[in-house]
Amino acid sequence: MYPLINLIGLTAGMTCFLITMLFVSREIKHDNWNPNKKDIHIFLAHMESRTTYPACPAILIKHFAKYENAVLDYMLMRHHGFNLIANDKETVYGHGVKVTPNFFSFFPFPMKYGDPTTALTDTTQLVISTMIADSLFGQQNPIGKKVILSNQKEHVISGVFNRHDSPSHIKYDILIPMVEPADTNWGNFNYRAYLHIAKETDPVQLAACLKQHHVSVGSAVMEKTMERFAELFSFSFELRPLEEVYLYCNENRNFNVVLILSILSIIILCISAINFINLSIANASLRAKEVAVRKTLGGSKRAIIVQFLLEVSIICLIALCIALSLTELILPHFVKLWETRLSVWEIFEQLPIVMTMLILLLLVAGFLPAIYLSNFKPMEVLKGKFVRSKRGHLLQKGNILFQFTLSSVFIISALVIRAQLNYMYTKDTGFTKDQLMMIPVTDLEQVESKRNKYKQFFKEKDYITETSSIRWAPGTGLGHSSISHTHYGEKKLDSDIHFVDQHFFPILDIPIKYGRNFVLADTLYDECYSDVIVNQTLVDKFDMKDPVGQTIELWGGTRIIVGVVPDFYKHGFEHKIQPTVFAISNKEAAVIFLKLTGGDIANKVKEIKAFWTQEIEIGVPFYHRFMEEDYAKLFERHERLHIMILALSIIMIVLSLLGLVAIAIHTIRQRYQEIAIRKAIGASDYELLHTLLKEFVIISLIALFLSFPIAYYFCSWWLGGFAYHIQMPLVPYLIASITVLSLVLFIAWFQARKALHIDIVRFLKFE
Amino acid sequence: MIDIQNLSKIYRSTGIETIALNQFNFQVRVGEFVAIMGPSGCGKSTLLHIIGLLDTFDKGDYYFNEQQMNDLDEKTRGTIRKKQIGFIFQNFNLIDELTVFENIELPLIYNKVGKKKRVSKVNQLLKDLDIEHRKKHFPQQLSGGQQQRVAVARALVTEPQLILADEPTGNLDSKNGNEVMELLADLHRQGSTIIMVTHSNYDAGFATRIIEVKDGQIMAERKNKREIRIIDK
Ligand SMILES: Nc1ncnc2c1ncn2[C@@H]1O[C@H](COP(=O)(O)OP(=O)(O)OP(=O)(O)O)[C@@H](O)[C@H]1O
Ligand SMILES: [Mg+2]
Repeated sequence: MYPLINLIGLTAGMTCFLITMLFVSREIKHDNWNPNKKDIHIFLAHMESRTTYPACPAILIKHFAKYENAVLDYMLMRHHGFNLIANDKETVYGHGVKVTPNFFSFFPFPMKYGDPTTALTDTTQLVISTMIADSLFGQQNPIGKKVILSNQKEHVISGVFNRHDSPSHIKYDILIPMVEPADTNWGNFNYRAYLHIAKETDPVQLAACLKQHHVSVGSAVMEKTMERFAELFSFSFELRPLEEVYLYCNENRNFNVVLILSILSIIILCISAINFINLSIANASLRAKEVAVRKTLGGSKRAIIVQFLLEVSIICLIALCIALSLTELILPHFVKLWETRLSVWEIFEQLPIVMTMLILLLLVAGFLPAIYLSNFKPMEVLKGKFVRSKRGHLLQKGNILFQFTLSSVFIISALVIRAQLNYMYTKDTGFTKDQLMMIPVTDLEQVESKRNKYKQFFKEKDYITETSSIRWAPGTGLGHSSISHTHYGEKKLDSDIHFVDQHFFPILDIPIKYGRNFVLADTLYDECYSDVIVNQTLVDKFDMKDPVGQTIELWGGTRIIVGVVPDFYKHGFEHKIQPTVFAISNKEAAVIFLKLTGGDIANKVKEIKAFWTQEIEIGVPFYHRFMEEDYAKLFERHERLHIMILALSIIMIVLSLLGLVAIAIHTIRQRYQEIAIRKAIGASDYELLHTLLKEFVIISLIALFLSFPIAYYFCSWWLGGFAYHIQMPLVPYLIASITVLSLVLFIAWFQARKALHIDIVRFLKFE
Repeated sequence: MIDIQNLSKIYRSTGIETIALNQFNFQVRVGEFVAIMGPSGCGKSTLLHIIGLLDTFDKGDYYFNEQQMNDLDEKTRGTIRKKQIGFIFQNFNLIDELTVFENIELPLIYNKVGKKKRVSKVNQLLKDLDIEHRKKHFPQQLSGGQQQRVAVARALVTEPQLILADEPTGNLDSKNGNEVMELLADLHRQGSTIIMVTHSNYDAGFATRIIEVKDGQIMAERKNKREIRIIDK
């Protein structure tokens, strides 16, 4: 029984530790392999009221680099979206990016095929990752093979790179050569730039110089006064070294995750070790007689310690083996959860850590009980009296106190996170998402030329109630939108700009609060009408009295507000709703919206797919999405945290229960004489239970009491990450209290019950 | 008060049978002070434990206040113990974690005596037994004699009909032992029924009746002269 409990606890702790160690070491490895991780810097633009974007005008970097010798080299990159890539047999998808030819000198990923110096020099070339290469060409060498990218252009594969063993914040699978960035507008922040700066260059100063350069040259080129230009582009610039990009500059807050996970896994490992010690000592007291006899028979202290260490090492080794196999079992799920790549074999890369951990564990978990055991006074033990030390008692109590405090914190946190998730799932987002099918447009030319044809088709099908073609879909990664300064009289705001058509609001069930919707004939193409519709936040921020009919300035032109829509949560609940301007356009649609009615969606999708692939985007693979599913993806990251915390709380509870079992057995056994005395005096079972359970109840109450402020602090911090969040709920605290109390009571009661049936006479005879 | 007939107690452990009590017959009337003597291992403690309902027996009958005790459940036995029997042990058996006061108070708590009454009762006893100044101390901080006086106080506090003492002076020097014996004699004078196991002839001298046990059976029984003298008066 004891060795089994011991094994379970130790295995759980080790598994936890191994998995998180693998994960953390993978996270830390991001870009760390890059030889120039300290010198390569990413360019970041901070917007006034907003988050940070890794974006800048290409022309700024090109122009600037000519004047400054602080920059050794620069590399530009432009996001190219989700691409289809096809040869004559297969079609696959991948995230694509346009890069300048020197990409591989900045990110020297290992090449499976091809020469990194020449692979990106011509715009007809294409470099793909091993993942794409495997699914398109299998085991063949794809160099020189032709592929079609996004149904438009033929490329020749010039290289295959492997990014899986060299984790990086660059997560693209298709590299499209961009010999000369085309955009020369000083105001278009749509390139990502990496600067390789000289060792002695101060990145802070360099960023300031870049800012100054942008204003002085940009204003001249764009024929504006410096003041006006600075006001238009009031971003501040920053350069961050590559080694910090993944962990700190990412909005997923990777560093926080790494930190929290490492701390928790170390705590869990420590706790399982402490429990191990406790259980061993509890076990040791049971075996005290054996030891005492051996001692009186002349067994030396050393022999006893050696024997004990041997037993502990065997248990540790077995636990490690089980933990390794468990890790291999659990890892795939974990990998899926975090969308990362890990293999149990990577543990061998971490052999020093694993070994140190094991040896430490052995030393602590083996030596302490061994010494405790070998110090038994044989005569006392033979007479049946154990060493009862007050200090040891206190240590044990402190230990369960700590464990149950943690358990309670975990339970509360998991429940609060769940509550916020439920809130986000059920809260009215202000627009209707159900049965809204989205077809991302791949081949714009074909789609635009066949506009009437598909409009007709949609009209004929009575299960399609509404359609809309837009450049941006709320709550999803589809399409694109921009952020611009908007002026109203003297006032100025950064607002989101979205191009939508006249069907957009009806299809999403967004009412027009004041004024009217856009008017536009379905057959016409147009954009940049002077009509705009704004959201309530913009009206409030500008403090407009009577918004309809007022004019605002946008992109140097005057726009008339024709309508106002209520606010809706287009990006989930983390960020505050921003002032938004909707402009009309049905050109260059990125997404086609279809509102479906009735059941049997699968068949309807099939029909639409047949039509779309045969008549509209011919030869283009069809991939559709539903807005509801895409919107739910906004919460994935939080779901992940919830799952992690839930898993940890379960492990934590199991561990602390194991610890409690050990301590309960130990402490209650130590009280057998007292119980016998009380029974002799006439204590009833109920009174005895009361006596025995009292201290456990007190400990769990203190644990709960301590856990509340910690959990409250953590949960408030986490909730603070949401612009829209629930009030701190009280129910999780209640549930945690009930759970902890009832579990503790149950375990203690279970052990105490045995004590009720002891042989009174036997324990009264104790000396 | 106590009527034991043909009572046998056999210990069985790993094939060896030990007959601790063999067809034992024994009666005690209210107000008696009985001393049980005999060589080590003859079954004295076993007898006392059975009388005190701390242990069970294998054969025979045991009546306590005319009530049969053979097949009582543990709960009833506990009730009888706490209401009618007080124990004094050779090794005192005080609870180390409780103070002197709390140790003495404990049987009253189990008997559901009110707080006020408890305090006054315990304080009275502490005064009578001259350990009042020690009431906040823990047992480990007392001398053996003081500890045994606390144990006596604990046995008396519920005013039980029967007091069972197993070698109460066994761990005490003669002076302390004598004090405890005086206490028991006082109790007897006040009307308590006492059954005491002892190895000391001197202690047995305080009793009204002495029985000699050997191999689980009564060997001899005699009235104490001293008691006869008291009756003569
Ligand atoms: N738990 C037990 N298991 C087996 N045998 C026992 C047990 N308890 C007592 N005995 C045996 O029963 C017999 C009577 O024991 P008991 O303790 O009543 O003797 P005693 O007269 O009180 O002796 P002492 O004067 O040494 O206290 C002894 O032979 C003893 O070995
Ligand atoms: Mg005895």
